Amino acid sequence: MPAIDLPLFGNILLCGILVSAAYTFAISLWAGAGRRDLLPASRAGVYATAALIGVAVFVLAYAFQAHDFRLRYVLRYSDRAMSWWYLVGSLWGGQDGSILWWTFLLGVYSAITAFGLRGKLPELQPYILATLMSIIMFFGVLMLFSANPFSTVVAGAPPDGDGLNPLLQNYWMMIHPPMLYLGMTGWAVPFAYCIAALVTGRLGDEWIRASRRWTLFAFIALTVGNVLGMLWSYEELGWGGYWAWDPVENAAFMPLLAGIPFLHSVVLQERRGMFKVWNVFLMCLTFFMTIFGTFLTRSGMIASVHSFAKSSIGGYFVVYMIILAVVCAGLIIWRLPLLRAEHRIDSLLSRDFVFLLNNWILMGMLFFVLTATTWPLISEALKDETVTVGPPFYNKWMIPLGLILLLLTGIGPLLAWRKTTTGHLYKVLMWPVVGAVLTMILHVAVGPSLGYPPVVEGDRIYDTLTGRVLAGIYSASPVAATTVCAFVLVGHMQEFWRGTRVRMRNAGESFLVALYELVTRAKRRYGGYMVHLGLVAMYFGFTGAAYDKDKEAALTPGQSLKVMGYEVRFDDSRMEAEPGVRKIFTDMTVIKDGKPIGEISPAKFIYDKPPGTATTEVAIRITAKEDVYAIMNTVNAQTKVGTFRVIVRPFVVWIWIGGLFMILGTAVCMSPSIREVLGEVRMPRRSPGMAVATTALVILLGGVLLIGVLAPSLASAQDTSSLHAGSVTMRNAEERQLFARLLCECGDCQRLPLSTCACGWAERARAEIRKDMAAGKTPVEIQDAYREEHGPQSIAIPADEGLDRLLWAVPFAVIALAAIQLFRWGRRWKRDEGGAALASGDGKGSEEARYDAALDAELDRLDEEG
Amino acid sequence: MDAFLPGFFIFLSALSLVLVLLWLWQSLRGVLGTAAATTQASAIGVAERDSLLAEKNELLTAIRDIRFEHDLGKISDGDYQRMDKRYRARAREVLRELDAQVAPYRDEAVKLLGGEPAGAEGGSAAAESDAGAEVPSTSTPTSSAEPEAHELSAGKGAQEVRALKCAGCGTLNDSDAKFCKNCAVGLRGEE
Repeated sequence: MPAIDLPLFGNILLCGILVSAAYTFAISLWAGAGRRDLLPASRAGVYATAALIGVAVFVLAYAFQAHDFRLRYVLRYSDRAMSWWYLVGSLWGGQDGSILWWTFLLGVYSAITAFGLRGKLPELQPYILATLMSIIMFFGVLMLFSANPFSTVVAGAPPDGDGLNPLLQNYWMMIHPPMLYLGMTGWAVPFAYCIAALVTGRLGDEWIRASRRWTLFAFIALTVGNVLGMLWSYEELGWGGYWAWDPVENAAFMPLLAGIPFLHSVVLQERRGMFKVWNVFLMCLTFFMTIFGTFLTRSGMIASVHSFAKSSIGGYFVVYMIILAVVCAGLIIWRLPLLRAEHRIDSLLSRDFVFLLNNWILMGMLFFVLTATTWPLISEALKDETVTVGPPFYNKWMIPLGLILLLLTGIGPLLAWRKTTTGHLYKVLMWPVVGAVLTMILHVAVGPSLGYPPVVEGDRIYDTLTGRVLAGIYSASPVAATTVCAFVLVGHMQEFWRGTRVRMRNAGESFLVALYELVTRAKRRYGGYMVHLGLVAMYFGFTGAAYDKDKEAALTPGQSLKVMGYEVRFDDSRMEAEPGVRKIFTDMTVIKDGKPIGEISPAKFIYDKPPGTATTEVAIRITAKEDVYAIMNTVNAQTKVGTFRVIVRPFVVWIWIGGLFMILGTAVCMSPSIREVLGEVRMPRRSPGMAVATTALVILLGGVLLIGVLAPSLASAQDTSSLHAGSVTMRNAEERQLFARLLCECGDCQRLPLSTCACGWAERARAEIRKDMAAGKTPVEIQDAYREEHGPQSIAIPADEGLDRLLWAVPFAVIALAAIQLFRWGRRWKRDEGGAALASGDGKGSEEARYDAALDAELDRLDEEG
Repeated sequence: MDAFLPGFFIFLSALSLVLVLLWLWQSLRGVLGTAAATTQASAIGVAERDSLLAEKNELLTAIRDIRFEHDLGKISDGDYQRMDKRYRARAREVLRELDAQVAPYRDEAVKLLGGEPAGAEGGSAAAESDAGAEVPSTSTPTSSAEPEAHELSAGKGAQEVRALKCAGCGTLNDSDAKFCKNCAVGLRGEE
């Protein structure tokens, strides 16, 4: 153990961070109040604060490596047997450390921002820095008073620590949380620009242009963070899915639902001078959501399978969120007169209006997810009753919203800005519609014979009209999804083709040159289209879930299990012992059409610490068409009988391919032009070094995702874990659907669904329910009886009656009313704009002519150089 | 690795700590007014100029975009003209602001050359083009600036040229030179 008083030093550092951030905050405001000469001092203060946070992180990392168990955080999250790799990961493995890590990333972002601002944006700069420092101050207070990673163990240092939870001891722990934090924290920078614009009243496009790359970076980092979370869940946690709508997952998803509308509506501000208020609101909301998400994850207010322990941290977050909301709302109201739109929507048939609809549906989705995530709290406040809102609820309700979003994604790019003439509309809609109809016919005609019927059996979650409607939508969702996916795909291809053709005709270029020139000359647009194509691929992947087939069986070596044309043979089991862990593998051969096509080895790892902890290692064989996903539940060492679950999941790999497309598209949007890289262009606020660095980072994100997808097939025996999986055997799909909705009430297992909980209570409950099913009761009847017996919180779907109806009724009513209002506004704007458009005069002074000539010359030059 | 990492993290902490002190010192010197005077005023001017140039660049891209959309048949002729007009109006304003910014320096430059600012009127847009580094001077719409510069050196400036001809070796020197760049003889009377 080190001789120096590390805990004391750490606490001094935390105080230092708070003081340094407060000092920088103060001189930044002073600089903003007229002392511009203080800007260099302010930037130096930002660097110093960031470096100070760095010292704290490095000291904590040292404490982990040196096993300084005087620190409570080190004691709780490490032990002497852990490898250096996991000791580094322990930095963000627990609550206190992850907040320090969050602050560190924010410090790095702030320092890069300050460095990039040298000699630029003198008006906005002081407030940008002050805002960033104010956020660091909040986290500084949090660390000092509530989540102190340097607090000590009262009883003195024990000889060894508790060790990191085996669930977290895998390579995903090393890449998923840091990436997610990178995405969540990243929104602080554009938010700081937004606040600076509000304070200074410089509410034009300046702040949007200057923060564009930051916004894109935050978007892509958060997207990759979420996709990595899905990968982790799918490939390692072993419950067979990739998204469980857990509050913690929703916390990371909600900022995206606010950020994506922002990315779209800023285009309208830049092009048309519209939606200035809306854009500042969206940016404030996005940042607010990142803080709200952190609050959800850390306060323990809402039960979640992977939130941190309950702590006093929630109160601080609530106070900060109130301050944030009041400041943002106050600033927006104060600046309302400056935020008036210069123009209005001219036509409902315009890309402008579709952008607005895109904002509407994404905001609707945000509102829906927010309501459902916080429903347990709302319900408790309204009727003193705890309820649970589980995945079956979200999965049913989000399908129609997702389809609308996908359709809008397809329509927007086809339309022109301002107004699309009817003739043009027919022309651009023809091929996408033809493509969609052909795909639909193909799906209906050929799908069933391939095992992908256009309509699937609906799983009814309520016995009411709502339940029937939802089941109907779910039934038709496969064919609807393929049709809309085809529409979007053909529409986007057409966009690329038409643009390329115009270039080929006008500039006489070959196809490839024209395509390259097309994309590089309008990177934002075509990069955005690539992101859309990624969304199509993802949605296609999600659709595959409707065709999942799974089977469970007990097998002796040599026996096999048949699912969807695959035969999976259990060959043998073997054990490998390593310090602290015993690994039991079951080798299996995947056979198709009588030929062995691959080998997989699902496993169970049994850890010594905490004693008896077992994790389930899934094994997956990935192909473009479908994944064969094998889980070993148990294996008997004497009889060698193993129980297995094998799932065939079509199209899953397209979700990851979609993620890669999104990264690629964003990289195109952010990439600097060749002239910028060569330094031929002095692009204000876009120095070549910065641009190259951001692009390199985005490419790195792609690499991380790619490794994530490929890694399991290369190393299916990584130290991984299962949170949800247990040794539970389901007899049929109906049982699985029903048990997924009923939650275990044993009191120890954080209410896992009966479909996965392996405790004795759950086993007894399943046995009773099976008796009821054998007696002919319907799933909804059983569900109601279960609710009656164990209370409303025991069902993953709140009842479709009384106040619980508000859960879906309020969000959908708001979405519908907003749509009606949008169309009414659209029609009114159209009438208002009618005469005004021609009002401006035509006369050109000599000076104007001269400037026009200068502009034309520059445009020619731009055309020549790209 | 187990033996190396603790030392490595100590090294990183120490290095960061040094940087903290360095930057804090720099910052405090700035606040207390002992830092070397920086050219803040001109830096602000440069920043505003950068901002205008960025806007000009965006506007040019927007004009090009709508032209392309018009070529694709997405925007009707009337809409195209209206949007083009709007973007050009703002672009002209930006060019005018850029000209206004360089105007004082232009006068100063012309004075330094020893001539009357005769070309101010015609050369404004050209001056803007030169200042925007991404737009080289070939885009100059009026060509009066360059010939005038020649006139200056040949006309009024001729006196200066004569005055600074070295009495010793006859070499022509810059107008503000004190000694001849060839033979180092003093060019002013008193030397």
